[in-house]
Amino acid sequence: MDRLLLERIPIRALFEIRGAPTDLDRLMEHLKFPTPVNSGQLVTNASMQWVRFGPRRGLIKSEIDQEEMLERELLKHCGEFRISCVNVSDMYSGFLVRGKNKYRLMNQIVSVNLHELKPAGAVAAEVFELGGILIHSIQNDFEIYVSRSYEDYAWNRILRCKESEFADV
Amino acid sequence: MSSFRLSNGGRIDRSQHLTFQFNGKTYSGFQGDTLASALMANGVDTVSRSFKYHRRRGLQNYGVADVSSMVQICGANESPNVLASVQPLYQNLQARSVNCWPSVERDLGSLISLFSSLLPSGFYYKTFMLPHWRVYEPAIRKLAGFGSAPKRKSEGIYQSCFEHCDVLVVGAGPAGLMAAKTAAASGARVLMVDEMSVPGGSLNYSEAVIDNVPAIQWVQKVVRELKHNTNVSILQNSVAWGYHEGNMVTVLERSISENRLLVKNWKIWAEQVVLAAGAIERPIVFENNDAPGVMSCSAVRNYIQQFGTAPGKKAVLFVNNDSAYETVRTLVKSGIHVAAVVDIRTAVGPKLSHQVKKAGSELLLAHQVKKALVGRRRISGVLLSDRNEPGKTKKISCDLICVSGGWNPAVHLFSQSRGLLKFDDELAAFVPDRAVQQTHVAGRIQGTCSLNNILLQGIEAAKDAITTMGLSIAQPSVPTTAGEVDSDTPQEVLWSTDDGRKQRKSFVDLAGDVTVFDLSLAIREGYSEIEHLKRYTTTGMGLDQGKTANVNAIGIVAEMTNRHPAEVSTTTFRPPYVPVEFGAIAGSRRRHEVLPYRHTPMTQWHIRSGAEMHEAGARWRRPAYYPKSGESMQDAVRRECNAVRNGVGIYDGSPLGKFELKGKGATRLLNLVYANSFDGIKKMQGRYGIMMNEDATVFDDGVAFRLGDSHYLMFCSTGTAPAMERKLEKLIHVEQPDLDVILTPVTEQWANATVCGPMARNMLESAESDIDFSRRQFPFMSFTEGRILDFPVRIFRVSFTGELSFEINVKSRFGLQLWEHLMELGQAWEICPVGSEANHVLRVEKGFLSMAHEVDGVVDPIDLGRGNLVHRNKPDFVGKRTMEIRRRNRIQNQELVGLYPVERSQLIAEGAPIVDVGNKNESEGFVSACVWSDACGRSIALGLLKNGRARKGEKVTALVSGQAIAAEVTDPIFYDPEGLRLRM
Repeated sequence: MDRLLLERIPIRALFEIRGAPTDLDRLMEHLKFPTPVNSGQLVTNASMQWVRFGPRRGLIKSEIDQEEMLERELLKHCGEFRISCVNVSDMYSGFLVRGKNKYRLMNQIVSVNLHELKPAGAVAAEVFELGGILIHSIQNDFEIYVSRSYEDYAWNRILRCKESEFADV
Repeated sequence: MSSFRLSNGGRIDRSQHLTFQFNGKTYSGFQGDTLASALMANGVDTVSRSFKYHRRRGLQNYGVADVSSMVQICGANESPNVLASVQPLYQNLQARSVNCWPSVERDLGSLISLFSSLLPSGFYYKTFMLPHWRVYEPAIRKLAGFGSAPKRKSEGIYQSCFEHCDVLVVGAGPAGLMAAKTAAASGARVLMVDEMSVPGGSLNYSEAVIDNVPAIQWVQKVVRELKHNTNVSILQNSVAWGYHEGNMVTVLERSISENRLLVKNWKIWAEQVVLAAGAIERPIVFENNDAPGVMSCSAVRNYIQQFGTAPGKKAVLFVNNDSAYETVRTLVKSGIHVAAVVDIRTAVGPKLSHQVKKAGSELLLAHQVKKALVGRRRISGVLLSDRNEPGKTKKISCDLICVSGGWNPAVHLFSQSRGLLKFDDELAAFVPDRAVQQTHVAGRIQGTCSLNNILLQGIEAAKDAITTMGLSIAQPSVPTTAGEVDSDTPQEVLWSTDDGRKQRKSFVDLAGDVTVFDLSLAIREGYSEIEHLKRYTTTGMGLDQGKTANVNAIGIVAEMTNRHPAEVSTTTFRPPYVPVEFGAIAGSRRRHEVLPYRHTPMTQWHIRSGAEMHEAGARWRRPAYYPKSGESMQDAVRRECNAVRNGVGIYDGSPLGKFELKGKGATRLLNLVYANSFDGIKKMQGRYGIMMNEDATVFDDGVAFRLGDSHYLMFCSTGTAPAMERKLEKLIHVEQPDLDVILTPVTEQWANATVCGPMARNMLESAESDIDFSRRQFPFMSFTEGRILDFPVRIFRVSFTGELSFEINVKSRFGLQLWEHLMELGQAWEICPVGSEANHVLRVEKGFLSMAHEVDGVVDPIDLGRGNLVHRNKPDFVGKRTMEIRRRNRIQNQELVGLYPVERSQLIAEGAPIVDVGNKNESEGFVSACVWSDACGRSIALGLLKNGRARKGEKVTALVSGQAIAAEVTDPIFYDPEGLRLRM
């Protein structure tokens, strides 16, 4: 396994789902996700992930080529399950941090307790000094999402943190 | 090597020579030295000059307690205010003394000492009153202070790091090591931080034996075990400098070598904190106690045992407690002659007196040091007096005075955590009493002196922490100890041998040059409360935060005011515990990254096109204008304005705040936040509205479009968007929890290219699109969805320029492609990219509102001529009640007006007050915006003027830098007042 790998995550289909906790559970059951899903958990079904980072809030995540289909599907159920579903695929830019030394780098990026954030976990987090989303993937990698308008800033900071953390002494 | 390096001993690597420079001279040391120990080994007596009197200062203490060892590290990684006593030596290290000129040996500032009788505490306040303190301040600041800020950009690496652990152990001395070992054995995640480069704390200079091996071997064994445990992390050269709420401790880790400076500022959240920060040996104050050659007993032992350096050749000990007698043993072992042990007590135990005699030294009981006799560079002797017969004095020649006045527990962090302290009479110091956070204390911080008890307390503190966390405790074996000095005579408290009646150089606080006389003078002047006295004399306010000074100062004040030290109490301990450089706080941020800019998908296009980029609120950078070669800003702005008024322009409106509202309560929410009604908006149509704060002042204006039955898209000003989100969320979740509405910010989801100008429709009609752009199908304030090329777009007919306008929104991923396509398409119409400066001119021509210009946080919608947007018949909206009160009271407010400068080309600086010339009345208002308008053929301005609307045609005067500029009051809409052009 490489010591540390950083990547920009290509655009993904992201839908912000908000609503009452029971309504969210009903929708996810309908979408064939294993339920119930607690805050801070991530689950998958055949083609997408349900990332719940709060009792009333989460993201449906999938590949970008699923976006249109998913949007149609989700919007169809919006009224039925009294939830709000908004396409936010372009709101966020994502970065992937993986490798043996990922924790050393992540310690500079987020203030989240990474020991507690197990794989298949997610949390709305402060990334550097910005609001963002942190996902600990099932593959044991970290996905960091920040507002697209801060993409270059966040990426440059991540690269600089990597450079400083792993520069030869 | 010099004669101050002992021939053997010390835990330095004598096979690895290091050369370094201090004050321009080259010296050598060994791997494992600190800068301080290497200087000592090279016979450097004077390390720095003191803060106020520029007196010579040598090494006095060790670790973070030695403020006298403050130096400036030079070279690529220049750093001020570094303590030589904690700075590990490295090859080619360069350092210099601080607070001296031209050199530490011949410091002109030391002439101040000649006038020291004129410079007691508080002399600033008494002396430099006339004509003003500011006259003297620059010179005084230049004379005072320590290191200087680096002139070059540091090449060092600075990081902000975060960590969470179950148990944070502060201090890697005997108590800390035992606590870490116990907690780790119980399965807890342990982080141990230690200020020195090697663990062990006081065991580094102890002759004690633990588990039948020398203490230092035991330390190495425990550290090895801890390092093998994956649950344990150890940070050396790391000082815990702040203990904050939420059991969060800030730690400064500093590692510097020839090639690299790495500074990490850690924020560590711990379930439990074990403070094993130890204690700092307390000095006893006497005349000239600051001279090079006066050291604490523990420091002397430390330099000998850990670094193999000799602090002097002939020593006198001045003590009041048994623990100091270990120093005799250490000195004698290293071949340093102990001339005498001066103990203020009348008796000591037989073992100790035997030890002194065996060393060939004189034991002077009931004696005290009255004064250190100072030679050319360091002390040359000591003047003693008999405590029973004060007139009876004695001189002893020596070059080293080892002082021990007892121990002060390092309670700084405990106190910062808001833990309560109590005064321990036996110890004569403050100790932790009651913790407020999840804090446990162990070892000398509790006042414990016996090594065996210190180790036991480490175990107990860890057990407490583990139990609190609900983990099961692994029972650790308790180490056995031997070889300590037997303590059988209690210490006798002595703060100072100077009564403070005369102005002598008896220093209580070495960091701030505060003497006993200063304290006594302050008390005589009425500053008897410790908090006042601290500020008046600056005791404990120096860079060492009173580590060695505070308790003595409290004791001396207590004696002078006939109070118990507990009654005098302590001052407030505040972070930072040690100097923290700004780089550590900034971390890896550079320049504007402290407040980073945001960008749109088109930002790079703007930059490539030569745009001047300005911040436009909420950290968005937008093009201000696009100058062509040789064009001034004014020329560019005029060209861009003319393009919009006569042809077609395009601007990047992506940063405008955007929110989706969904739910049955969406219309109700809009009716609450806007002053006007949002009832009856048809699907695919929008409405302009104005919002107020609770105090009826205007908060923002904007538009909202109905996308579905219970679905709106709301736009707000760029700079207001973050506050808007907070305001709406508060309304939804706190003030109106029954509202069935969900808010989702979508600002970055949509890139926005706004095509505006009389030719805008023609241009868009030439696009490959399925949208009907005709006025009939796509009227003003409506919305449509469709495609331009293959890009799915949402287009809104809104105008912020007063011209025909199409706001084309596209998913951000397509933003740049769409923009480039529109630029290409617009070439036939000579499309012109437009910056925010031209937008400003265009909106002034139309009298449109701008945040922080006309909307100044004071005016209400009626003041701004938007009374038609306040629908008072609505049941409720934010600011309604206050608006009614405001209007009922008939306060004469400033109202929005247009202004024509009488001189047609005259521009008036924005913010210029409008004054009643010749009368000493308050200003009548101000100019909120003033621009040159080609459309109007003259300069035009907007302003807020008292009772303005009733004063049309009147001449008013704006004042700019003393120059009166006449202007005529007019209507605030200068261009197309009927709004025909934007409805085209």
